[in-house]
Amino acid sequence: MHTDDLINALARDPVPALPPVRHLIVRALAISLPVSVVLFAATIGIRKDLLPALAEGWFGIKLLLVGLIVVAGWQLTGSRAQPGRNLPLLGALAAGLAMLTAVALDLRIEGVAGWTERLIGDNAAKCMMLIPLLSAAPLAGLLYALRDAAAVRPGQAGAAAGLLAGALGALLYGLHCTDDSPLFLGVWYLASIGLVMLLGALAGRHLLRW
Amino acid sequence: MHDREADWKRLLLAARSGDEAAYRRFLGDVAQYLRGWAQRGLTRAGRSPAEAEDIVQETLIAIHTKRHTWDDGQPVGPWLHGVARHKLIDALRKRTGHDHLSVDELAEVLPMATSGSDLASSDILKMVASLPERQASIVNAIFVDGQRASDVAAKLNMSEGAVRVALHRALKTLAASFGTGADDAHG
Repeated sequence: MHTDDLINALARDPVPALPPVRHLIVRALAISLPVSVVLFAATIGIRKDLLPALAEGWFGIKLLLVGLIVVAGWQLTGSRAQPGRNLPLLGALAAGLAMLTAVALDLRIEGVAGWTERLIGDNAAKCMMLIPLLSAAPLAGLLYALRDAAAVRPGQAGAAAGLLAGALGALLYGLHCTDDSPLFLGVWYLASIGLVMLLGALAGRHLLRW
Repeated sequence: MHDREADWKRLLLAARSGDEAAYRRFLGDVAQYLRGWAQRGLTRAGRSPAEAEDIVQETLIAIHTKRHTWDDGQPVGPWLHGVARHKLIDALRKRTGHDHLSVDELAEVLPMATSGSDLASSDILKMVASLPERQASIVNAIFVDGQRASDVAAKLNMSEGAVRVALHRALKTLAASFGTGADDAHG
């Protein structure tokens, strides 16, 4: 058989194409995210002072900032899983700028005094442990789904999946955590998400080769 | 260049809506384009352009199994080059010699072409199934399941050398019925 025969065989392949990568990602999250939500609800759960905290401001800003990281992770995951895509840095840039602005706002409104207490917070160790735990299921789901995509740089695709999964884990954890200062966020949340990214990159290098 | 992009996009969109003839034309055009591209790439890497047909075939299979990763809002060219470059680099990295058949290297190159549900019922697997039973199970174990030759040997109670010989025979049979390139590159 020659290349022409291969082409004929491929053209006649009765197996339909897989769904678009975006669908694969959404499907993976639809299955894996509830696992984290149940884990979250069954263990730490939403903070008791949810409504007063929302009224106070920093809590809402925290959720918004993490939400922006989710968006950046979503964009990067989609692009890194498909050949020939540009790197969509707009989302990541927006999240970074918003984070810096929030830190500046924190220092201006709450004052420079006491910044170390706000940065160290009350639950740094818990945060570093629970965000990766809450991210585990989405990361596994995303990596599994991305095996059906086509990551030209498997490590980068894994890191992007880690960013998305880590940000989703952080969003859940953020509903529980009472450390709302952008200073805390900028250190511990980002470090936790970074850890999940690193795990994603390492796993991706092996799992996402094709 | 612009015309090619427009042609490919039109054909691929038609293929997506079930036009088999358009898909065949698309793959034919792409094969022709890739042939020159792969020959240039191989020459630049100091390799024999005779390997090009192998890379063309591997890339066509990858384009087919990964065709859902082209988003119809995106241009076809960069996507196709992304896949082709990936396969070329893969080939350059994994093929070390012309006169030596490295089972584990091949096992790394081929599983992606046959793994996943996409090709599960395709012609390639049918061809494998038409091999003698022992050869088929060896090919499946190594190429589809990604097992190592030594593990397969232990499981089938054969020596590793015997597994390699059987695999080599199976590849020759497949190459004869499937692609002419395999003999050029690995024979």
